[in-house]
This record gives sequence, C-alpha cells and structure tokens, in this order.
Amino acid sequence: MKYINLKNRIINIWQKYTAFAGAKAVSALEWEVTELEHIFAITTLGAFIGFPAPPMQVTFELLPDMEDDFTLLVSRTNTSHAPLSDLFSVLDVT
Amino acid sequence: MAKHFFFLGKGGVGKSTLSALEGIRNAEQENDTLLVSLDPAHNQSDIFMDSFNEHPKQVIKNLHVVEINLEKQIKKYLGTIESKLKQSYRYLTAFNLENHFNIIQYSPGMEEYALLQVYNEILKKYDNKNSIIFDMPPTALTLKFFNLPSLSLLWLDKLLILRRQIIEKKQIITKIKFGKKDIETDKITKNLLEQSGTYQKINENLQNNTITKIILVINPDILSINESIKIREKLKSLKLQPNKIIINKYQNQDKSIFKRFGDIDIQYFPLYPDSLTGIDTLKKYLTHHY
Repeated sequence: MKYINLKNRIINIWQKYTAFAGAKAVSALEWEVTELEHIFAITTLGAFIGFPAPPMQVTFELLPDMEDDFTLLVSRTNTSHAPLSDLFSVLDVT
Repeated sequence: MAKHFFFLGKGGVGKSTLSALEGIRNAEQENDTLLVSLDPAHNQSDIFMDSFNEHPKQVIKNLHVVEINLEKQIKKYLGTIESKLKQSYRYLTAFNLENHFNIIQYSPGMEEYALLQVYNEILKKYDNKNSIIFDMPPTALTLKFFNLPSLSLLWLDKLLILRRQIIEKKQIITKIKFGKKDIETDKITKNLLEQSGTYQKINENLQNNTITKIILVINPDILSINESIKIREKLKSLKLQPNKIIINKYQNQDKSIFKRFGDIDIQYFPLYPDSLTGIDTLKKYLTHHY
C-alpha cells in the first residue's frame, strides 16, 4: 500500500513537472514563432518600412493573404525601441 | 507549341523593322504568325502604315499584329490585386486603397512584371500559332524582363524555407499543447508555391532552345557592338543564349570586328537607302536580302 502511494506521488510529481516544462517550452517556442513571423513580414513587406524587398509583384501577390503579418509588422513599430524587454518577459528575466 | 522569337538590342538598331521582316517571312512560309510589339515606341504602326492595339489585326495572310500598352497592363494587374485585397481584408475601410494604388503604379519593377504578364497571357492565348515574334523594348527593360523569373524564384525559395520553419514550429506547439500534430494548410505557403510554379514554368520556356529563339540586333558601330557584348554576357548569366545575331544597316565594314561574338550564327542586312515602311517595300527588301 505504502509502495503504491509512493508510486502515485512520483507519477503525480512527474506529470506536474512535464506540464510545467511543456508550458515553458511552448511559451519560448511561441515567442520564436512570432519572431520568425516578424522576420517573414519584414522580408516580404519590407518595402513598406524602407527595407530591401523582393520584386514588387511577389509582395503584391502575397499581400491579400498577409493581413495578420501586416498587423504584426505595424504593431512592432511601437516596441521596436525596446526589443529586449519582450525577450526578457518571455524568459522570465527580471 | 509555338516558337517564340525575341528581337532585342540597343535602341534604334532596327529591332522593330527586323521583327516585322521576320513576321512576313514566317507568314510567307505558311506559318501562322503573331507579331507582338512590346516596345513602348510602337514602331509597328509606322512600319506597316496601319494602327494596332491589343487585339490581333491581320496585315497579310498568316500574319497578325498586336501592340501592347504596358501602362494599361499595369493598371489591369493592380485592379486584380485591389479586388483580391477587398475580398481578404477585414479592415479595408481603414485604408484609402484607391489612392494607395495610384502611387503603386509608379513602383519600380512594375514594367517588367507587366511584360512578363503579357508574355504569359500571349502564351496561353495564342499557343495554336506556329510562330510568335516579340519586338522587345530597349535593352534595360528587356534584360529586366529576362531576369525577373530567376530573381523572383531566388526570393520565393528563401521565403518558402522561412515559411516552412514557421509551420514546423507551429506544428510542434500544437503537438505539445493538444497531443497531436495537426497538418496545417497555410495559405501563404500555398501562395508562395503557386508563384514559384509560375516562374519555374516561364524560366523553363525561356531556357528551352527549341521553343525560344533570341535574336540580337546590332548596327556595325562600336557602341552597338559593345552594348551587345554586355547583353550577351547578361543573358549568359541567366542561362540564355542568343541563337542568331543580325548586323543591321551593314555597309561592307570589315567583318572581323564581329568575331567577338564567337560561333553564333551571324546574318547581314544591308542598309536600305529609303525608309523601310509599307508591306510592299518590306516584301521587296525580303526578296532581295533574306
């Protein structure tokens, strides 16, 4: 009986740990995805903010499908002066 | 499939006249031929002493001529983009799109894309022809036109790699969160793949020697020869090669100056004392000199 209780407790701890580690891993990964999407937006829509860009028609063809990316690009202009604060908040650095 | 002849060279060397002559020659050989003027100067109207537009007009048996208005083509293209945007964007009312697109008309690179679109449309529309002859614009725009598919493919390949990384990571997140790996259908990846497919097809056509014939027109003067050497080098970097060089307005100069073009077939067209206009004059010239 004692042995079963101990086993359950270990399983319980392990599950909580994996859930916690999973959540941490996902938040870091989600941040990475947002950054990659931002890079993608800058690369494709760079012409709108003075960056080198692909041939104009490549951008134009993509534009109707890039509403979210365009919004991300515009919202980033607000935080562009403090890019590290975003990273620190994801990594829980205080 | 139709054979495509591209006449290119420095401005004023006689591309339009020679493409008109090639058109008549093809038509006389019973080949159903379309002569497409892409040169904004639109000399075909003066050469055939007739008026043309984007609808093919028959000038002699087996020969039709069209003149493409690039500005009109750019407006048409932007119109399709605008309607796509209206369908896709939820917050359209926040933008003054119409005015925005008026500015976009002057974006660099639109002219060569308009050319590429015309080329694509002509290929689809007139594939039943035996020959399609393109009277190309002056050098800079023509080279941009030939360069555009490769350049676009370069960007599209890199963008696809980046997009695939994003999708892959999104799938990992879904797997961790929900325990299964969702196969996501990303509309941007689809869009990139579609664009990539179109440019690959155009590049294959342009690089296919049995379909595409590039004719470089030169005058026997040093400026024209030097520019043509640069054109040839640029074409080489795009894996394209002129099939023939025509020395137009030739007046018995020393032929050794053309040795710089190596083993490419060279044809000489002597200077005509009068203006080469009107079908009868063109036919007469052909009988004597082709």
